Amino acid sequence: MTMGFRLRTSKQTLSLLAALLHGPAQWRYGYDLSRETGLKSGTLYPILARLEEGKWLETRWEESPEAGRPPRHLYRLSRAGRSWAKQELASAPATALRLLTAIRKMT
Amino acid sequence: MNWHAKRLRGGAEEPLPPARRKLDLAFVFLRGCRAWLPAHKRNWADAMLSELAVIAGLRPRLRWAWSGSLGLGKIWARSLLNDAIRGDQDRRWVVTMVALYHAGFTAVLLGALAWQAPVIFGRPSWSEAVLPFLCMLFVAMLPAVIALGLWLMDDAARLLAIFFSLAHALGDYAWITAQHRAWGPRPVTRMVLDLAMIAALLLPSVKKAFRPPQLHLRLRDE
Repeated sequence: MTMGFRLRTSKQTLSLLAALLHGPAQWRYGYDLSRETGLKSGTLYPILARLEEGKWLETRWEESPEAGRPPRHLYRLSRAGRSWAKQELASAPATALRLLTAIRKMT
Repeated sequence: MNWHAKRLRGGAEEPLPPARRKLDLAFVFLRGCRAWLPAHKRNWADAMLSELAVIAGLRPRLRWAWSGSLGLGKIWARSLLNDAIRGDQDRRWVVTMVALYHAGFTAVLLGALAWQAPVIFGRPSWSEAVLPFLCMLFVAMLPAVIALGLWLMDDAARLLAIFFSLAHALGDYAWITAQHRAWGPRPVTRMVLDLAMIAALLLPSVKKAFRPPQLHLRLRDE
């Protein structure tokens, strides 16, 4: 899918974007994102998949140092994703912003 | 203290050791879901499985796996929808729409039969209705068979769908004219839909998509 498509920015998407923007250059694990945002895996991964499809998200696999443990998938916003996320968060409705502030305080 | 002993003693649970993963219910369940996904979407199931390895406690792992399976369902449905809208290499989206229409047709007919069944079989002479009921059941399944054929890009199904739409449109026309019924919006919509489906299935691009790949035969000494 080409970049620049319109993604529906639900409250859940906004909270994920806020979490990813928290340390924008840092690679994040899915489970950590789930704990930080309070999103269940069934909500989190479809959003991650959509963000990746839109090229807003960069992903990579990290080999585990521990033998027998599968490689983990890591995520961070792409450069275009970061500016888009900031834009989306800036135009988010007040309720969503309150939610995001609460998440930031928790972390 | 090993993992199993710690679990039995009720101590703080640690992430599952690799050796125990094969038998862990959450892993088995999520791996099963992974198998149902199309190959290009399995990386998301792998991502969930890799996180499962660091989640402590059976209940949180099961919660992760259950919710994850629903998430994989969403990813799969979205991928199907995208394929249908954009059209993948072989399937034009119109074919998908026609297939969905036929599947819906069967669903409506089966619904009508299910609704009528208690009335029919509640009568003393119910045994006389068995054969017609079975015939109607067979007829109701026909559109679903066509839908399946269209989904599998079977050219016979395309021809059958054209025939079915034509018969349906002519049937509607005959019913209205013979019964001297008014041309209401419903039969007109049905007929327009039938004609649109015939036109769609006769599109050169659609016909080409249904054509089987050419076989290049060679002689042994060639």
